[in-house]
Amino acid sequence: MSCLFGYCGLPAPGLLTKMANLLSHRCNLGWEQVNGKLREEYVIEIGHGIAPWCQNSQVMQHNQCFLGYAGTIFNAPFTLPFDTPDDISISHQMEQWLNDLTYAPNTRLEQLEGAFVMALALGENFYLLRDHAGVKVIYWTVHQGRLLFASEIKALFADSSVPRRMRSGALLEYLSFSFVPGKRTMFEGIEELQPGSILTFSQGQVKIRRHFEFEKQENFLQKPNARQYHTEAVRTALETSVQECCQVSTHKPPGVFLSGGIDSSAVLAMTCKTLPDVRIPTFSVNFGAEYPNENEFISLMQKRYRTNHHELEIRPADFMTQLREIVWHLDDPIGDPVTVPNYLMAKAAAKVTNVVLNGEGGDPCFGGPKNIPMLLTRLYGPMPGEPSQSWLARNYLHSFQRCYQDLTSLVDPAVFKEAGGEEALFAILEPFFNTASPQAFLNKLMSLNIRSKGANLILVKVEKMSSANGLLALPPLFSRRIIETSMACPPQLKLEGTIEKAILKQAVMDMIPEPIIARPKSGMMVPVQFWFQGEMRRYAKKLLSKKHLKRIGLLNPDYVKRLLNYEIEGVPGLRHGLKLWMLITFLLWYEQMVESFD
Amino acid sequence: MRCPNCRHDQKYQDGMTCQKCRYQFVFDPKSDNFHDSLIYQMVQQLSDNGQYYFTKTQLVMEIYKYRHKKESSSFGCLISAIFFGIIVAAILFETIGTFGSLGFGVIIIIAIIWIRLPKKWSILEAKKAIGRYHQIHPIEHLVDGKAFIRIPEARISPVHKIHSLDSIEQLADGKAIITMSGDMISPANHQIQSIQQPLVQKTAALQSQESVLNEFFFSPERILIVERDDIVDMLIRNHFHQNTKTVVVSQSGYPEFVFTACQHFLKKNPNLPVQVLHGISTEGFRMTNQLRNDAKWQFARSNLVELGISREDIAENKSSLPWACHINQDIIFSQKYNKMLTKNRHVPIDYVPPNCLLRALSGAVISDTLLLVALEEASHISYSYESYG
Repeated sequence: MSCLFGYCGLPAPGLLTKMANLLSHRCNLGWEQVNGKLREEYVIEIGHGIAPWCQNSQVMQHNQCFLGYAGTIFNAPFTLPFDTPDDISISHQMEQWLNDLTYAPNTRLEQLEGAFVMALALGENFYLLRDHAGVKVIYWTVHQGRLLFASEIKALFADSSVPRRMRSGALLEYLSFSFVPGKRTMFEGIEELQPGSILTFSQGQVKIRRHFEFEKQENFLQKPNARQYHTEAVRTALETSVQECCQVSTHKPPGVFLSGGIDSSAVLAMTCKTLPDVRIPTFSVNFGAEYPNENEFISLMQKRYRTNHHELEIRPADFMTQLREIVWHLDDPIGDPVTVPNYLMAKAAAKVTNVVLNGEGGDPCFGGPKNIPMLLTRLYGPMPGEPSQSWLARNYLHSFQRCYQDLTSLVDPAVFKEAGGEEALFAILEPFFNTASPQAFLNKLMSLNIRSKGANLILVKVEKMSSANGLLALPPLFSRRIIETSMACPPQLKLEGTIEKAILKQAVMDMIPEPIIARPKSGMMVPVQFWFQGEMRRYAKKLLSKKHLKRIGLLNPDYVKRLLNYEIEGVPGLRHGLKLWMLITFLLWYEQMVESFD
Repeated sequence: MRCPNCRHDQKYQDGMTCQKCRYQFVFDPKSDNFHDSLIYQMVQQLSDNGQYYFTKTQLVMEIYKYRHKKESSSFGCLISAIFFGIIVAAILFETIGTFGSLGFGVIIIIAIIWIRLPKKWSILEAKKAIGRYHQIHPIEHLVDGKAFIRIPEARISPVHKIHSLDSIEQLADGKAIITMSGDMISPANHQIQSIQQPLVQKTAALQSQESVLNEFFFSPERILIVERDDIVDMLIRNHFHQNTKTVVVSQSGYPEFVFTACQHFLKKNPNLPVQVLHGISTEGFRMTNQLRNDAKWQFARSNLVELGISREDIAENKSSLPWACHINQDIIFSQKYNKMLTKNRHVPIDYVPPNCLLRALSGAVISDTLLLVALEEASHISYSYESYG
């Protein structure tokens, strides 16, 4: 729900409706539009799928200003939502804002905070924005002088002349990271606007400026009582972020996705503090009694805060028939089995509420489980014969533990070569390691995790899975405020010895039971390796059959067979289950998004 | 002789260079106990086609296990040799009489056994063979315990502009001089070595390590002390430190810089476990105590935890282990650990291939115990839950 789509440029009658049709799953409550002529043979059309959490208009037109947004803006300097899109008697505040916008568009737009994407035509200039962290997503392409934009890639193909070609480097990137990092997507010519960026389209030219440079918040000045200072800063930032999120849902109380970890527990604790008289609905998953779960920790929070808890048991039989649809909703493939619990939890939560808060952001902003391995890598330095330029990137990919080590065996050699090989992958990561700012290595890792894994994997996955079910998912731990606060925090307060997210734990220590504070990072333990040796084996074998793989011609069927058979020899590592999941996701994506249109 | 590169069956009279692909044979089948295909196959197997790094000990063990399997099948060879000998004797009985046919039968039996039985090698012979092969065909994934040795401290000073060898100023401290062009001049023999590229690399690494020393707010989850330097190389090059958040050093303090880091880690985190890993030997069983009494390791004295393999564990072992001894002797496969230990034999910790050792060790460092049975069973599939937080 609440999607944004449209175009700017030569008139294309019926295009907006076609885009809306392709996004019909996000326009269940209908959609609204605003359009107008900017100059001769130059129009703007903006569509917005109406959201259940905000059933008023999110598009408007005033004079030569056309605006539409999806999501929610926390600090809009005007009254939102608008009463109707045709309301020409806009508020004084809005008029003032629009005037300011005319003189200093970038400054005004940069100040907007929330979980949103926005399209704005002002005079002959067109702007596209994405919020600071990237909670909401927007894609764009320029084709035949026209800029098209949409919350999902599939809507861009409403213009049937837009080429639908898989980018040559995309498969390698996907297999190495399990998502496509950066501004590029799986498709040639289609880009994802990066968080904290403003795209300007003028005179047929695109310029993109990243205005959110949180790396500059890095601060090495020793404050007196640094620990106390930063603990309070984190606490305040989290409180404010949660308050902002809670204000979005006016009709129903927001829900909280609870995993049993420190991040979601901190969010729940703050939510209950913000809404003390409300029984907050919480949601968690498990995969059956025979598999490890975090119920013990979830129960601690649920009992302490007396939430209205909903537990969901997920088994392959529950989702295998929906897997194709789930991948279709993802748009660009994301090879993360957590997408399924995300989707099913959102589906369950949508019956109870319109807005949920989650704990996403805790790891990228305060130090995740990959930091110590990379710090140890740096301790030993490059191996003999290892080029000094790319050794950190190589080790980062290795520690990511996806299919990087399998590439030469898994991918067709011609595809591997055309994609640029390993060097193309290193080139994505090296800027993060080579940048002058931030200086501290831990902060470099943070920046990489926020801008890459956070922006292009975590937030995108959550956004797609929640929007598919009419839910708005908000991550208080991924707000602009939190990102800047954490960057300003000295590395030694974020990672203290082996204690990750130390400062966050300190900030919420009084609100979270001690076993949750003390437990090491776990992550959602999706038992894919057991599924693929059990209930999903036949499904996987059918989908990853030699016949299918040869038809696609990108992957080595013999190597895939070794993964299916869980062979150890010749297969690096033991993460066969995850690799199979990534391959299945890719196949389902390819069939629906590429092959069916060839 | 089969070319390991292109599988061409090279005739002996065609010489030591493969007629098809120009591969240079190392071993002469008529005079050497080894052949190129054997080493090549062992390397491929151990590294799992280039995935893993391994020690020389692991390669020697792999060769010995291969031979041990052949010896085990030699019993069948003996039976078939006897059977064949009897058949031949029976056929020739009519022609050459009893003694003649019996004699012929025995000769046939001995000949078959002599041809089929694998030749014996000492450890030294095996290592020499590996060394010869490595010289001609460098084994990329063979570690040597020198991966993290940094060049001796050298002074880079713009003041020491050397225009000619005659004007070299001998430094009082005898350190090498680095010229502006990046050449190193040894104070001992004034020989110039061009080391610019490696120096740049090393400098980058050293700078990286120096800044890491300044950032000792973090800690690994444990420190692992191993017996030999090459075991450090093997574990690190196989990313063991990344996968288990473990710092690995040898008992001699290699790598030096990492050893220094360990002191910092323990200062910041006094409860950090320091696990001791050793093979099956009298020296190994004493290793933890020796470290406790070693002045160099005083800072870790109270954190030392023996990981394995323990004496108690070996007592429960039922399988035949490869017991090595003096370099000039053979490896013996035996279950009789007491007897072997009495004879000063030992089983090195890296007697199993790297993938097996890594798998067993990854679990062991978390549970604080390495069981011999875990090493033996490490080739079986065992999955833990994967998390994708």
